[in-house]
Amino acid sequence: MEKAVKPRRILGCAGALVFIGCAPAPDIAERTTREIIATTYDPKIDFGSFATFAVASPVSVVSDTTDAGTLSADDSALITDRISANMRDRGYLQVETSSRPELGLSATVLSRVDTATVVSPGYWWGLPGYGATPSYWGYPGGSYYPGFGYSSVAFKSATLIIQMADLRDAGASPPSPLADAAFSSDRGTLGIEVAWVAFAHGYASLQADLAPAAPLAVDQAFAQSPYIRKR
Amino acid sequence: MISRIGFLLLVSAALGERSARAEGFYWSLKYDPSVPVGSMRSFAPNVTPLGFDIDARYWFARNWSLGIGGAWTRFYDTLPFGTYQVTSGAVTATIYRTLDVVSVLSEVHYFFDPERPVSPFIGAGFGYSSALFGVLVSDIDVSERHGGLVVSPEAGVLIPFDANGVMRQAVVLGARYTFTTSSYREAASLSFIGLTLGALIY
Repeated sequence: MEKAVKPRRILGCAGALVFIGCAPAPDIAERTTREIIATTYDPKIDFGSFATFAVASPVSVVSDTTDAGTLSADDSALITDRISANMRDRGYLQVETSSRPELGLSATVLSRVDTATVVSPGYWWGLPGYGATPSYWGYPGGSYYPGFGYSSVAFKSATLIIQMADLRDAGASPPSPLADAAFSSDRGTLGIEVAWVAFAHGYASLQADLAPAAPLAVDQAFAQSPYIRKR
Repeated sequence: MISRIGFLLLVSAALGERSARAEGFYWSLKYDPSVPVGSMRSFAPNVTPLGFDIDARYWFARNWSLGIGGAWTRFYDTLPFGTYQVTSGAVTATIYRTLDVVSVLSEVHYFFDPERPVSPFIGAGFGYSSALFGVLVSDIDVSERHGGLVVSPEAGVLIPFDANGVMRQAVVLGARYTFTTSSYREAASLSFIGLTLGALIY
């Protein structure tokens, strides 16, 4: 008598493996609990054409969970020194803020837990507590506008934000519809364009304390932005 | 004269049984763990235990079968801290990648000696494949489907359970190479080698 292979067994084993393979993907909460470094830039800007830069200090803190203001001088230096080192490595010349740099970089710790899944670069400057250092780089009536947006649920954790502003063309009319809609109506038509932003989620606590790895996040932000280089 | 007729009957009986062993409609169901090769390793570098194929074939003459089949293979990889390029930027975080390759193929097989206890065979499939590339990084969820042609040669052996009489069930052991023209970023095409273990059922 012939022994019949039991197709049900074969199908059962196959089904088990398919089940394993089709296990649910990690959800957003799981994917955003670890460190994340995101960078975005305005592709219309030629980063190689700039020559000089300055870094604002101290690092500002914007928070709805703790007192806003600035980081301590030591903590600020950890970040700003690392930003300066990376910019010099890319061929740019560091100058004083008062020397009319072509690129202005500043850092902010954004600590918000109630909202902020969508943030437009420059927007946090309008939030309570921001020191506005250094007063829009000396451009009267200035305001920041970006040519791009960035949204992430990772904003529910504290985020170290590094922003690079195009100061060479500061004061020019905002070129993008996004900038016009979001910023010109209530802040005037003169603006400072945000050229590049780095968001390092998970490198600061909700109490706005920097994580030990925060300087490494600065390095990674530049490492994944090879277009920032002076020709 | 009688002896000649008897001889012819014996020969025809023998030939009849031999052809009966290798004719009819069969199902084949196989498990295919696979290893990626070539440029697709830039997206999915790991060996996967997840792969199956099924086909229906008609075994005609003594050595040949024609059929139609489908295959599915899932590759996956988790990069603890990698960089993923997005439009006008990049994200560095834990990257979860999946690649599902589904193929529909017309197949032909040649069996060298189906009457033996272990019968080698070669085969080839040609058809269409659809590859779904999935990337999860931070709260970015990207999936892109790319279709392409697929070629899939294979070789192996059949080990029948029922050596006496018409073959109704056999174990299939072999290896299969799959190449598709689907591409995504650095993966110019997809190619992988799978071990095949399964059953041929009448």
